[in-house]
Amino acid sequence: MPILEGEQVTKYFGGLAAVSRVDFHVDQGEIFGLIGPNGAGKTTLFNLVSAALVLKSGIIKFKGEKISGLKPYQICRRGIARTFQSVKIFPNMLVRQNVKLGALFGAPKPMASTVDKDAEELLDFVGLSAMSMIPARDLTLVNQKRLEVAAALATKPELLMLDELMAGLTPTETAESMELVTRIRDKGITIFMIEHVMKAIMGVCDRIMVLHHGEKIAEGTPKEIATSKKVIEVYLGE
Amino acid sequence: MDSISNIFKGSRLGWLISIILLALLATFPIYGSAYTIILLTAIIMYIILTVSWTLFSGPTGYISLAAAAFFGVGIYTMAILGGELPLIAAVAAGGLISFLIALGVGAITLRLKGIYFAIFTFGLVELIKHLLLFWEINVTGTRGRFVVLEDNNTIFWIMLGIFAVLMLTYYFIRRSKFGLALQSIGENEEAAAHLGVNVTLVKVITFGISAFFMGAAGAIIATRWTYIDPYVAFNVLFSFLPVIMAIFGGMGQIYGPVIGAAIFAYTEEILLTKFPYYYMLTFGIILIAVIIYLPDGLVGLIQRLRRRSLGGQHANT
Repeated sequence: MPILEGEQVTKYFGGLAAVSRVDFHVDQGEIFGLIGPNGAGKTTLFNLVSAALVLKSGIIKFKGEKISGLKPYQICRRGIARTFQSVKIFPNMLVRQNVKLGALFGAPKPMASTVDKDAEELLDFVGLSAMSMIPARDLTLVNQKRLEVAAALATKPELLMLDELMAGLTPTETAESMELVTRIRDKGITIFMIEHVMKAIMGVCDRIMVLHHGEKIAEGTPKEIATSKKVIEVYLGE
Repeated sequence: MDSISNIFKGSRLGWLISIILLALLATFPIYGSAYTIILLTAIIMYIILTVSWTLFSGPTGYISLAAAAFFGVGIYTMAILGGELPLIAAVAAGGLISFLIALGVGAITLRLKGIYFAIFTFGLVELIKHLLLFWEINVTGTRGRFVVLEDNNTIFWIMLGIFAVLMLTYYFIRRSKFGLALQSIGENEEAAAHLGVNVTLVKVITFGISAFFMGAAGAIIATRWTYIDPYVAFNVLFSFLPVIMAIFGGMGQIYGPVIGAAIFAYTEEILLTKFPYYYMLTFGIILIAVIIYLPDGLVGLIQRLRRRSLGGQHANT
């Protein structure tokens, strides 16, 4: 059953169609990957779903209800959380406060009594519990990314959108992040992820969609995508 | 409830000192001279402007230059309603009208960022000033207004009352969930929005609260000025002074803007009365020195000294 659906999703930047008439759906409980060359419109699509940008035309539905037209904070409270390609955290706040903020404001029904406990559990879940009382700016890149994931999870999402979680990480860190992604899915959270690290995306995704110049050119299992002529052409040239 | 009792436990001493200081100040008119009371009223007025400016601009990083607009609205409210309403009600009306204007203006302009927001808020002062001028010239055919007089002690006590309410408001906002949201907006507005913070609402309400106190301070100080016109009421100096005083004091701690404004206003008064010819020159030199050598203001200096006396720094700060 699809948890997120997009129909004819379109966005222009000036005359350029950043995302052009894309139909897609993400099924409940799966890990859905989004790949494509630079400038393909992947992050734009994420921004449209999370309402950082406003659709030109088309419709986006979450659990069968139209969500296009809502504000970012409303999308978050509905149950869609996201992270950013360039890490966006609150550098001068404590690591724990970063997570608490998500719990206090983003959860559909925030409960003040459990916020501290939830924050500790999530920091433990992403492996940051030892650093909960230091300012977020002092974390390394990989830990900042984990913190961003923890803050997003604190909003109790049903769908988590990860924008290049593995970019800039070492091979060991990438492996750990892949493991983190599957653990999040095992909690029952659907995952929609953009990734450039092919090994990672082929390893964890159930299905993959390929964008090129704003258009969807392929969709299928990792195996189908890896052998698709069209996809190989786009990535390697003819 | 747990968190609220913690708030009080952590800083009982601070509360005690604040209450004693406030009580001392409140009884001051009984034994102080008239000059000192007028001086203290002016200092407290500057503190109110500075703290209410910091309330919004400190955590969010949106530099507002609208202080003079809200201050002036308060002044004009008192000039118009002064004789009609009881004094306290007229002061509250000054605050309330400023609050409402701030909500309206905030809803339209808080999507502007950085320098654009600063320039717009600055324009607001001029806009209201010239609207009033236009009104007085073309509609009422008057120029300026007389304001009801109040005695110095009453003005002092009301100013002190506004200050006390402001400090309480400031303290609770800083310590609350709302304050956390406000800080998150300053640090990364986009991330805050995507973590469920209704950034527009939080910004607009805080902007309004800050305007309320500026308006109330304007309303009560107007009763000392006897005659006002748009140029007096909407003096852009009142937009810049709070910013300078807040930077001077440092915005990292609650007491920063308070001591900043107090020392700044007092120094200004001393220089103006003792060295009228070198007043501006000396003042300028002090300002430049502070900005170069104390980028975090007086608070930064205090913290540096304290850290030195405690020995060593933390690795993670």
